[in-house]
Amino acid sequence: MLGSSLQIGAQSPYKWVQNPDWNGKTVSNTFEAWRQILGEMSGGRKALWVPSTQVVSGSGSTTVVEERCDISTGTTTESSAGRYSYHGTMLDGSVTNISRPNWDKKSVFQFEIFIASFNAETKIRWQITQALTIGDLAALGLGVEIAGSTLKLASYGANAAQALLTAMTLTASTVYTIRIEHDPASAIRLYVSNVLKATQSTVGDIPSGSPAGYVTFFSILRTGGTDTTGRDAYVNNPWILQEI
Amino acid sequence: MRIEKAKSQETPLAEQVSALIGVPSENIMVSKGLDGIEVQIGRLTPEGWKQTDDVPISKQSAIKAWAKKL
Repeated sequence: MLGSSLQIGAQSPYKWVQNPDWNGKTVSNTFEAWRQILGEMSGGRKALWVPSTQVVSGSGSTTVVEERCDISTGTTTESSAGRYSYHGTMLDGSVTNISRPNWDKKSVFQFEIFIASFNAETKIRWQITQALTIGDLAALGLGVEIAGSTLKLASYGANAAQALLTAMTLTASTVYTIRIEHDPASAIRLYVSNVLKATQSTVGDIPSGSPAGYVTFFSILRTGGTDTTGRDAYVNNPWILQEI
Repeated sequence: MRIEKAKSQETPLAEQVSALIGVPSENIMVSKGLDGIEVQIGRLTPEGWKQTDDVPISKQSAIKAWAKKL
């Protein structure tokens, strides 16, 4: 628990100005605070796209530039594009299960997203999922779905079906910071640019346990046969953090 | 955050496979990763990709030759 606070203000911007009690430890500056924060997370780090696997149909394509992933439908109707990466950030103590999240721990997922343009035939998904093909959540996991321009919080728990909660309408060509906080058997909260937009509090729709084989999967899928404009989306600067 | 639109001059993977096996590219899903390449024949639904068929045996050698060049 954070006993005192990280004060960001005019007197001392971006500095840890007091001597907060961080789980009984005293820190006196920002560096020491960050060191303590890291100590409370399991493998917390950037979730990079290298290595990753590209999954495309039609004229779909993807590009990775360091920590950014670009996906595009291309101009052919009914095209899709996605890319997934096994992430070694959530550990259950086994090297072979290095991609296994522990949904019984608190965790947070954060990334920036930019969508160049919207269309009613298009669905964009960012998921923590076991599936290696583009689609709805089909097993324990969570993420977001953007259908047209409508952002939704997606999750899959013991109820054994994807649950969607509408969060907000997005604006094209705008950078949003998406943060998903997972509290086991309690809530999944979706923040958009640091504003709470949706909360999933149905326990049966919150993933639990520690199943194997998880990936971060960012995809765009276009159904319907009329839209021939290339639809592009970008995810940048992804973080995956889990408490130890 | 600076965003640059990707400008790929290459023919998309699914369209390359389409030319090889004579199936429309929107009915082809290609997965390309470090552990290899997988080709499926299927279709997109609002829920996601659904595989409907395997690559015909008569076309598999052409696919394997293509994959080696990637």
